[in-house]
Amino acid sequence: MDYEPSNILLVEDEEAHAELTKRAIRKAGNANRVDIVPDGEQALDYLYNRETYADKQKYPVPGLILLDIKLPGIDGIDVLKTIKEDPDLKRIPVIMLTTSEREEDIVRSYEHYANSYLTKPVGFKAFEEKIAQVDFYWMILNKPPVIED
Amino acid sequence: MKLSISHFRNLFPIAAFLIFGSGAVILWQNQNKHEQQLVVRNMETSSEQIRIRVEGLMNARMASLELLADRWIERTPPDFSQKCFLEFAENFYTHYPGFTGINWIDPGGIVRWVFPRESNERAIDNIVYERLDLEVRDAFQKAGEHLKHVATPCTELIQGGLGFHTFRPLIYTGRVQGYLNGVFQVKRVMETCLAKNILTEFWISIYEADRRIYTNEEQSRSNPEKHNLHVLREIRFPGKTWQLELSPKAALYPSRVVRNPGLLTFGMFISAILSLLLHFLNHRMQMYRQARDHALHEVSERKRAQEALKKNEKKLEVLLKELAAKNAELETFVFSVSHDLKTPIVTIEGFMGALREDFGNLIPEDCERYLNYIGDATQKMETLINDLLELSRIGRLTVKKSEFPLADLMEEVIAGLQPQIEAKGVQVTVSQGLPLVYGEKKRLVQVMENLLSNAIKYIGKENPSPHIEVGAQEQDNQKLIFVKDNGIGIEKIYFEKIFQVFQRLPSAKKIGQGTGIGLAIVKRVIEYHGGSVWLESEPGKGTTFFFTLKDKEN
Repeated sequence: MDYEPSNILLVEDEEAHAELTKRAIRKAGNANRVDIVPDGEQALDYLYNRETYADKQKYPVPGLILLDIKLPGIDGIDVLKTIKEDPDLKRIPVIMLTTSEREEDIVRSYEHYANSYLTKPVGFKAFEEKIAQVDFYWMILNKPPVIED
Repeated sequence: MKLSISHFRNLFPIAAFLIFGSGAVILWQNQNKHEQQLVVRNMETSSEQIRIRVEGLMNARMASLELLADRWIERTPPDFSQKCFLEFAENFYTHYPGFTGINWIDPGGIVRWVFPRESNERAIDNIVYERLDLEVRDAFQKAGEHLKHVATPCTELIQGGLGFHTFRPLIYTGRVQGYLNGVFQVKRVMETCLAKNILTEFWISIYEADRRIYTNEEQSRSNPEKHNLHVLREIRFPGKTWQLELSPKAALYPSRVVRNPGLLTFGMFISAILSLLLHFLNHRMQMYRQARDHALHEVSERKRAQEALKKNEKKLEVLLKELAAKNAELETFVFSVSHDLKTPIVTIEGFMGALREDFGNLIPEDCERYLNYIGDATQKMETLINDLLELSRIGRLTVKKSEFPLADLMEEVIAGLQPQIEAKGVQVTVSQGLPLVYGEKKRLVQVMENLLSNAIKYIGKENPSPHIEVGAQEQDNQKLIFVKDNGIGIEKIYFEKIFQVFQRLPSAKKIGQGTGIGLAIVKRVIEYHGGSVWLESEPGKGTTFFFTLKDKEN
């Protein structure tokens, strides 16, 4: 299995948010690459190298997944569940990144072994700072697991 | 059917009275009959007694004259002297009461000697043959001719009163020596014979050949009614037959007045009482029956009402459930809408930042101003959404309640609001010795924050000494907490309105801060805690908010 610890998979249906997030990550400068998928189905395709993401070289296993909860079709929690139940994928850190502050969402996320839960802050500065911190923590400070082929 | 039964019930006491009354009358008549029988028996006994006595007395008296005659001639030679006669006469007169007189009449019919002299003086030298009453003369003649002891019919006696004579010829040596004459006053005879109790109990009359020769009836009863009860007896002694008539006196046996009125009255009284009792019993039974029917009716009515109530309750329950579901739905809706609203705000804010950062130098001044407007609006919207989220969260999410000092809470709140407090130069006084309160601390912090920040917000720009006071009072099972300011105040018409969502006062709009949700959150939190919130205020003088918090139940 191809594994790229410095790649980030961003699952976000809101194009603008995806762009803002990508911008912030890039600005922080610790990630190698940020791939964006707009829904749950494509996220799973990406992780399992199916359909358009069949090329394993091109789409290696990411080192971090930023997962929105509200997604069209398969929602974020279902994606999380699939990842954490998969023996190969479950070691990938998954960070829930959402506007929802619903306690249910928070609880459900952790119940399904999300590694972190973050809300998108309102305000440009706050947003950029938060993303920079996430990026710094998970890309630099955190020691990722070794995923073997 | 029911009617006839109730009619019968009403007639029942009357029928009972008739039955009991008839019973009483029969008993009474039986009693009377029995009494009458007793009286009749008594009369018969008494008349028999009278008969025996009178017959006995007269037989004995006449026999005594015989005896006197026998004794006299038994002596040899007989002493026909006056002295001897008087001795005999006195002896017999004394020992055989009933005689009015015992006389000696010579063969020529002249009364020679009499005893007792006092009452018989007038008879002396009376010549029997010359008597006017022929019956006496005939009898005397008969005695002489037949040499028999004869009795005369009753006549008026020389000695007084009605009476009769007996003549006994005394024969010695074949020759009539004279006659022994017994004089009997009927009254005297009867008085000798009649016992006192008989005299008091009965009316007694004696007739001799239809002539009444004796009666104990009073003179006033000159024409006495024949008593319906009377006994007749014949009294016979030699030469005489009397009719005795005996009837009871009213005292013994009242004939005309109702006999035994007591018994009858008592019987009727008892009958009346019994039927009255029956009537009351009947009445009571009817009342009881009515009460029972009424009660049964009421019970069934109540049951029906209860069933209706239950139905209504169920309906209400369903409605309540529906309402609660709707409410929850609405809250969820508000919550998710708020979240959805946040997404575009994040975008707007984000790209405004990006614009400024990436194209800062290229943005003209006017454009920068416009961007600021957009930024302000976005921020306001964010606050609004956050408040809405908060409001919808109350009660939906429960944190465990705890008991904590109100003073700690105040410290936290004041620390959080310090920038605003300093900016307005408000003096905040917190009472000493604040009590322990019980509730969700996070929510109560929110309440205090909202109340204090409101007080600060509306303290008034030209207030010379802006002041806010927070205090508490212990009451029965609850705490009363107040936040008092000397700010701009609120008009009374808004007292209720300000607790509603998005309701902002004209003054608040002027000041331009706030979302109109703060007090709604306060109200919801306090009511969720089982307390209440209200205010006192006067425009220009200040406002005091009060709220209560229930104590922890032990």
